[in-house]
Amino acid sequence: MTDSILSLGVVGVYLLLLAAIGFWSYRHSGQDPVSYFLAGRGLGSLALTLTTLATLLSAFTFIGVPADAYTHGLGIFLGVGVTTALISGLFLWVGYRVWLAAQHFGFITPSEFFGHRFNSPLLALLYCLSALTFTAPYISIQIIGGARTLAAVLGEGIPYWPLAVVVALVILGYVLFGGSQAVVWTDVVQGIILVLGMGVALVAVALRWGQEAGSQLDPWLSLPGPQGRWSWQTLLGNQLLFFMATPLFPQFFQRFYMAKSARPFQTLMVVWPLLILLVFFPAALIGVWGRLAFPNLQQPDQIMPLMLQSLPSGVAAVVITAALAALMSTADSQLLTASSLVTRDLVVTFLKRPLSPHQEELLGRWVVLGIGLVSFAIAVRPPGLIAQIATWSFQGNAMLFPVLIAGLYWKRATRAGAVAGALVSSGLTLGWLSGLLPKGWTGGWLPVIPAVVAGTAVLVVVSLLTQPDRERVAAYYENGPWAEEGIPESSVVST
Amino acid sequence: MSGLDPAGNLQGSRQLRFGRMRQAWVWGAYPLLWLLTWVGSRSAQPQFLGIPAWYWLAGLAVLLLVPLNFYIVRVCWPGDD
Repeated sequence: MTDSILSLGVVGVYLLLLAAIGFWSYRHSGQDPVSYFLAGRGLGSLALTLTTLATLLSAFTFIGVPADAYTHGLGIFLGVGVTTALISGLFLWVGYRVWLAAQHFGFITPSEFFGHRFNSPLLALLYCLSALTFTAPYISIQIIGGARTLAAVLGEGIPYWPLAVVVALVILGYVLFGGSQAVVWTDVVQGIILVLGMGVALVAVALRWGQEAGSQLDPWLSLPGPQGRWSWQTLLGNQLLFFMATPLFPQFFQRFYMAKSARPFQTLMVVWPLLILLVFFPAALIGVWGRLAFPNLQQPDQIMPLMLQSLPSGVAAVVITAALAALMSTADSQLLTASSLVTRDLVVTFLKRPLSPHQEELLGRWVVLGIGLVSFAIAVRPPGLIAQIATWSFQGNAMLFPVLIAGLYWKRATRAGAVAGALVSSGLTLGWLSGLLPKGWTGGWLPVIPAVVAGTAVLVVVSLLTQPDRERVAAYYENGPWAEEGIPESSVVST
Repeated sequence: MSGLDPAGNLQGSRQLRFGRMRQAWVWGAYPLLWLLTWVGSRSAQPQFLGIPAWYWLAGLAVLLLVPLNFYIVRVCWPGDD
């Protein structure tokens, strides 16, 4: 009883802190889209680093990764953790370049970049719809994870759905009122808590279980794992999936717009691998060691909350707070970004309903509420394990990777090529995920991998058969955001 | 974003190309570190503190990304910010 009160107290203080930040942000942020969705494009190194970290790490990290390790062993660290660290290179190759374009052209939503770069409203619509389709299930993961984590605090006997309501209401509350200012500053708090919390969890679990492993855990401590899941093909497929999906998560992509200068990207790139290591290295280990404490779990998603229950109450409370921080910080960013996609891309751009900045910001709040309710509806009856829902959602986000890279680096890429490549990549991915296309055609890979290969081939061939929009290319490469990086052609020496 | 010397494009171009050559070398470190994370992963032995050696090695490879990225930021970042 005392343990539960202590845990509730720590979690309660944390939730009150979030509410206070939301209220403060409501009073201090501007009433326009750039303020509401992009925190005024004014984030420095600390804020950008922690909001990006907290946005990416989610219930999948705290609940899904230990659950996968519990079942299949440490391969998840290579499949997800290592890849997440390696994407630090993308902060230069993708993030910084996208930021230059956003600064120059004033983009607010990720779709605006795709639509403007290729002068194609259709491409913008395609990104917008795919992002919305695959984001709502991912938000639901956070609610599911939050409810299960709270259940660990409160013990058995409390139904799942009221806890899901509490998690959804808290997140909705500060996103609705505080907008991106609240999201970013709660992310800063949450980012610190989740890194510290996972470190505390590792030490506590290692002291309790680490030395008792012996050889009984050996199948979980090597690849391909006890059920042979982590074959080289599955491992490589997951690494490619995360490498392609992460920069295209709409909430992650929009973080690229929020920096106030290039400096935050440099800081982010340097410290990112360390922060990722501090979170993923313990997460997989805790899942495997969980087999010693709970060898016959029917629901692997419960392993992290159950392991927390076995820790001293003060320690458990800190780690539970960290888990809540991870999932809430992702859900709030996803809600806000999804809201911007609906408000700006669907209503303003495609339905051609001009709105004043204040109307746009107000509509954004209503859309946050709507998407939150849809996600809650999914969370009430979880359609699968957290890792399964996440993998499905990640594939939807990775579909447009070839279009992103071509848009950033290939002057010769054309509108027709980008649209054709995007349609092929998306069509194949959706066809395989929905079961309309035979799974055998994927050659054993995750569906999005062959889909992206086919989409890339179509993008290249169609681009070479058509002509790029010279004015648009010039707007980016000759007198626009990326012009100064180019070497004057007259002085280039071929090598 | 001031990689080119506005007073002399040729000089600026040389600096930028040199930077790109160094980048080409540096980017090769990413796949090397990635490959390092696979080494020994098919065996649970040896172990240190109950954790297999390959897992420590993979963690070290991730940690080495920090100095690598620091070098890239200092030397290869386009322009002076």
